[in-house]
Amino acid sequence: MAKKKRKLLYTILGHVLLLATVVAGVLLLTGIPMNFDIFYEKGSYRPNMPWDHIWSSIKQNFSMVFTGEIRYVDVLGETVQEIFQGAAKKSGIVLGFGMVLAVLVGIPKGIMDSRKRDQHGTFKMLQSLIPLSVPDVLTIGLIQLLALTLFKNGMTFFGIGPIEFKGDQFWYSAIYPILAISILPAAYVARTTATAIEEGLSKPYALAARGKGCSRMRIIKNHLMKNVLYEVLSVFPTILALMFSSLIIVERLFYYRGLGYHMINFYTSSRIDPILGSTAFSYFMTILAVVYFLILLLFNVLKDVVVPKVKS
Amino acid sequence: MALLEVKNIKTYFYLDGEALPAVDDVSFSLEEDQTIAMIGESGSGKSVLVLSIMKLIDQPGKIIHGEVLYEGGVKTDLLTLKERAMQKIRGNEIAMIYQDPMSTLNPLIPVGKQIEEALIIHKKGKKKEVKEKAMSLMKDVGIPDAEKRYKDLPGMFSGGMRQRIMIAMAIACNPKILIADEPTTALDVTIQAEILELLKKLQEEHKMSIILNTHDLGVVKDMAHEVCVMYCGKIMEKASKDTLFQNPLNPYTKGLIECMPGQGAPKEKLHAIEGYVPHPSDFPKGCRFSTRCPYAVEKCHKTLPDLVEIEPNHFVRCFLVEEGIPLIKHPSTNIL
Repeated sequence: MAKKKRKLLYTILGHVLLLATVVAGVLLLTGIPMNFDIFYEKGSYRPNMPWDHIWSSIKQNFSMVFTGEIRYVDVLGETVQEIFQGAAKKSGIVLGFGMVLAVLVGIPKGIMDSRKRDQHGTFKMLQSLIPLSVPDVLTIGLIQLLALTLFKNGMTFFGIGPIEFKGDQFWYSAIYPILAISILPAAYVARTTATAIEEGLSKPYALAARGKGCSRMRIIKNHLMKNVLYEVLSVFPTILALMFSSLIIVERLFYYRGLGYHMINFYTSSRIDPILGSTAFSYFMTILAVVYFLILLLFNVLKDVVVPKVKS
Repeated sequence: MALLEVKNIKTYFYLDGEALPAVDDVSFSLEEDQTIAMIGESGSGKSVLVLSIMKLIDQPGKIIHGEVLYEGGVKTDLLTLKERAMQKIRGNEIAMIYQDPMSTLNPLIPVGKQIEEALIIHKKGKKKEVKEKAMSLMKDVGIPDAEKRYKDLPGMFSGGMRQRIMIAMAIACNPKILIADEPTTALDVTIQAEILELLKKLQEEHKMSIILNTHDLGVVKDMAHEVCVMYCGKIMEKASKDTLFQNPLNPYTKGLIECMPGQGAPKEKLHAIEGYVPHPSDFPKGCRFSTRCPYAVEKCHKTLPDLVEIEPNHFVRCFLVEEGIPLIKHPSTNIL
């Protein structure tokens, strides 16, 4: 018991340390003034501004984020806090529903893929392997192309009517971003599920279950599902990382003004002051990192504590 | 009338483009309330044979020929049945217990639930009845405090107790045939005797026929009525237990019996059959045992002998026995 508690403590401590390092790294990098450059002069490399200036900019970045001062800074008529609240809601919808969709599609797909003996087994497996092997920007781009085609031809989607292929005015504007962000994780879940089932079906207790008269589906449902869920839970941190990294591309491509969209906008928009932009970016990035690590911690604790029976 | 008739069954494994005969043209029949023992060394094809009867052979294995005629009201060839129809027979009419009770019970499911499963699949009662039946089965197989232990996970039981649970699972639906694939191999000697006694008791109570896979001739002596001696996927000798032990004819059977403790003089070193069972890709062209047989003659290395009825209900696969040639140990025998 003491060993378990110690392990849990180490897990939490490890995550906190990692989070602190990541946040410090982000604030350090984003604190460097945007017009910073290094040039070559008289046989040596020099910065285009004094080191003191760079250092004070970094310090200011840390201070504004940690004191929360940044929240009240005005960017294009809205405070950073207001922008964040609106964007977080939008991104939360995309990430949350995307994750649910990935699991809902991935697990049944994995069950189908695990039918190795099936004559279409290889083809089914490829359906999951292809999205995993191509860059996520390509998959997201293809979804947008599909959305564009549907919209141009006035085709309806789930009876909602032609949906704009970009924008975020309506609730259903989130459909394409959710779809786009969930493809890669769904493929990942499908592969994990299929592997766990294939492995489980080769276990002697699966053979014994068949000997009792269990069908394949019954074996998967009654005998292997706990293992499958444990495996899926184990890959959740990876899936989460994939989704967070895809968020920026998805929101940018679909003009869906969530956290990812604004983060790019802070850096690239000529209408935003570069120093304010980079500090707002730091704020968004820090909160995203904290949320990511909290979720990561939750999954790791779940894996180690709540399902120890499965693990053993 | 035979309850189960296995006719010319062939199960091959296809690996690297090569067909490996794990079970090669095996036939036997099982009468009601009888026990037939399949004996032979590891790798002789006993387990593949019983899995073939249950249609539980997975790729790369394939049953390529034969019939398994089961007399369950209507005579049916199990090998022609679709998977769904076969599921209705498995666990219900024909059940199986396995060699290793440590790995054949799901470690994450309480034992009571695992026993219940067969009853639920084959619709042997409502939820409450099924639970009561499972507990009563646990008591029948000798699990103390069945009510308390119903929810325990397999890891909380000893090897012998787990095998008892496996047996409870197998007899749950009162099957007509019980296939026991080396049920005592993974257990301590003291527990082995208890499990065999339990099987005998249950056979009498439930009027079951048993196919018993073993390489322990002591178990055969104790349990079987009929015996098939298997080697390299072929039946080498088939007879009643008494005939086989009193008058073993095939050199392989003789060798196996000589290996039993207590066969030679006291303090004499135990006999062993020299060499190993060849891999299916290296089966000899002639008699499968020819590479280890101390009596093998030239013909044995070239041609595969048939299983011939030497005396009523005593079948032997050996040229020397068939032709009445006395068995003389050949000094030049190429023993692998």
